[in-house]
Amino acid sequence: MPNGTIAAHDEHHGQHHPRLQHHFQDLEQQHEASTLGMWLFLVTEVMFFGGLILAYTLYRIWYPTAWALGSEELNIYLGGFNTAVLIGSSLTMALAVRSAQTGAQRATVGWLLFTIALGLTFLVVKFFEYKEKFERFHVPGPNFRFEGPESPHVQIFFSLYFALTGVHALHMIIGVGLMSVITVMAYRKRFSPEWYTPVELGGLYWHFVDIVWIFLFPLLYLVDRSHHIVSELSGGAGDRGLQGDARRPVLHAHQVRQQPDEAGRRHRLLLPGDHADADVVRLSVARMVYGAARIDIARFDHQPDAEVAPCSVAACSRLLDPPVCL
Amino acid sequence: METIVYEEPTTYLNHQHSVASWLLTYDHKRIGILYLIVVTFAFFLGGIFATLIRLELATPAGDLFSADVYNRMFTMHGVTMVFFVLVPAVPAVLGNFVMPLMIGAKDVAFPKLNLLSWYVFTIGFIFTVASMILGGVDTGWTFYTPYSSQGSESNVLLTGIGVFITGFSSILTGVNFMVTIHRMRAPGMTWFRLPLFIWALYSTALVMVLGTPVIAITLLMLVLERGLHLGIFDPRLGGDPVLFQHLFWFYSHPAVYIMILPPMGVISEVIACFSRKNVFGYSFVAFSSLAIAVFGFLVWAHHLFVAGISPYSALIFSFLSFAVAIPSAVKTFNWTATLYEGAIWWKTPMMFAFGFLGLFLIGGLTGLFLASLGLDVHLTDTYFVVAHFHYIMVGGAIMGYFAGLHYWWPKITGRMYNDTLGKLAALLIFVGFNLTFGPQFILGYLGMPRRYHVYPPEFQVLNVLSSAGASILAVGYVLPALYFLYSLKFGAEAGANPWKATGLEWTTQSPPLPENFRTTPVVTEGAYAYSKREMRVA
Repeated sequence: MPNGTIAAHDEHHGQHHPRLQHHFQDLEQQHEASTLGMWLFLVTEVMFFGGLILAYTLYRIWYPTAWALGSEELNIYLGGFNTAVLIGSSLTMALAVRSAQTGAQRATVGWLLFTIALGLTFLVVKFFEYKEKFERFHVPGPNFRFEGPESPHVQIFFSLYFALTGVHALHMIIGVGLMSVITVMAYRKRFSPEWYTPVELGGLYWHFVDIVWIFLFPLLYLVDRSHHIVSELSGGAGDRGLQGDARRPVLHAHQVRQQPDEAGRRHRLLLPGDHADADVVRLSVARMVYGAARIDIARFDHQPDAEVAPCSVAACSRLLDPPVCL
Repeated sequence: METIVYEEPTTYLNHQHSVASWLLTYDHKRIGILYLIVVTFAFFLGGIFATLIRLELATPAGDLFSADVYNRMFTMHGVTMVFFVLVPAVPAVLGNFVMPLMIGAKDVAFPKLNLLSWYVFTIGFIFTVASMILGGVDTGWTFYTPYSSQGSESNVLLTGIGVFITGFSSILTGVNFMVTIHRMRAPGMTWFRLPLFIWALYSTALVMVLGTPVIAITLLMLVLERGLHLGIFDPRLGGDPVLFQHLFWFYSHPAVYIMILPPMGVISEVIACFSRKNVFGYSFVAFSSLAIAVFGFLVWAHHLFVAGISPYSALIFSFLSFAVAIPSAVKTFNWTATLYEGAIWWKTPMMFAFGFLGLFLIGGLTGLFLASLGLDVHLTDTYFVVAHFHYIMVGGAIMGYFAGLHYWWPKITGRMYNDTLGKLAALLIFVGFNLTFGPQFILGYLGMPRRYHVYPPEFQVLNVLSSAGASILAVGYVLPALYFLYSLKFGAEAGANPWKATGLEWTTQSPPLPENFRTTPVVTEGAYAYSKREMRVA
């Protein structure tokens, strides 16, 4: 290298910030580039999860009953707890970024450690959820067990459950790893209000993984939970099965069968004009008016005599797609 | 630092010599060379499989391989060529090398990530090669379920993981390129002063960023299904194998544009330089790249016309597939208009660019046949399809890659290759290519299905022509390897700008400095400020 260039370069080094990489003009350009890069990476992550969520959507439209059944097997309390944990971790992460911005170095380390702890809590809870699935033979494969005619479709549900939460958990593990590195950097006082890019980008990643879970939780755990609300409002209480007045059983997802070939594909809108058909299953007028829901009449064929609890107007109007709101 | 006076000017090639200085380099130019080495190896590996396929098909009987071995041959040919040659060739080799030079940057935005991309790519390639050594794959490069998830007894898992890993190299390169083009341009380098190659790379990066994650998750689902018995595409459970095809082509159709857009950018550079004219309709050519990238995401289901999709969606996808022809035609017409009244300089890169124009034209027009619903039913899975996509992917993409390689070789190495041999290679490739794949259009139209190792005797004449063409093609591809290697040692000094081209990459020395430019360049004019008079002097 000609002398002039080296000398000029060294002189240049003397002036600029130690964190400025040589191929950038200034810290601002470097920061903008890093931030844009992180956002683009998150776009790729959206597409990555998007593929799985597409598969989820397709099969949920095809097999709504199986989705309801599968979702009921998930532990809503552990899932809800984990949701709270992750939202909390996003708060601590945001506080870590804030501390780094203001140069509060010890606080940065503290909030990062807090974030890591919450992330690990999530993973531990997830481990126990997986363990339960293993014990109850809900892991897809040759040993999968599930009673009833919907078993194959429920297996698809659990396949997607494990794929989605597994990929998410992998992102959590990577996130905890990243946070650990950033914590060590923060502990060594690498960050300053002029340069704290890793904390900020780590935060972006962490919030993204959090948001993925915010989508996964309702998609997986809360499918068809709505019909519990209906049951309760219509006098039923407690677990599935016979509820309220025993002479009028509430039909639940697992009691209703779809015709295998037509599963989910022949919905038709139930309207007041359908009185004659509806008489067979003795749906109340209120449901027909307010439910306006896509109820597959064929599903009721095998239990034509079953008496169905009438839903209240208020309850039915909440639901637009109750596969088995009865 | 000690003051050392070199006789030889310092370049990115000679400022460090150790093996580690190559394997741990953050220099985009060295990383481009690393890609060049792996891609060239993959190209010859895929070429060997192609040679064996054409040998088998020289006679109607299956006298060289069994059906099973033949299945593995064409699968490994496809996997190697698509994922390890066509996708990385222009963006990762040429793009990496010249893109920062062309926009006046010292490096890409994330040099470490760039090196990581190469490692990820190479590890994915090693996985795939390992699966080949262990017996190969027989699913076809498309990995269609349920055969890939249940039926096949070959190494689907290992290959799937290899391609999955390689996908991340593509994603990281795409992110890196987009950020670099957004944030690293030299002062004065506005968007509409960018060379068209940069526009093409930007559009490509867009496809890489939006498309590649989808193939990654699709292959992951396949791997999970095959390896861990998850049931996502399993028809026994009520899963839908066609869903796999949708997800697969959501990436793999746009991937065709990953392969063809960067060569299109190269062609814009070469045609402007060797006809000494500004590219006709600069902004149309620039935006047609973006249009192709966007439209490319809306046509995937034209691969599924016979897979049982709804006729209404088939209609829409057919229409949209026709629509892609518009931006492609914009480019072709504008290149032709650029040539008009230009001072054509008949050099090797220009030969390849002309070859590209002819082959891409045929490839593009035959695509319209396949986009029409009725004809597609007749032509699906015949040699017509094989011929069509080879015209695009080999005739288009590889011709463009070679044009770029010959155009920038003096910049990369500082040496000139033998121009006569270069022209000969371009001619051999053009003739050999047409002889190889031209007859396949007829074979396909007559009904010869792809992926069979035997065929009725009446198809033999055309198949022999095709195999004969392939042997010419092989000579055409080996020749550049020889004179390029020869030029490294014995080639004439190229000087900074052997083509008298515009563009920032030609303003620095050849081979460039480790930091590309002594001082950050300032741009004051458009990318193609050529004048014909200058050419006559040259």
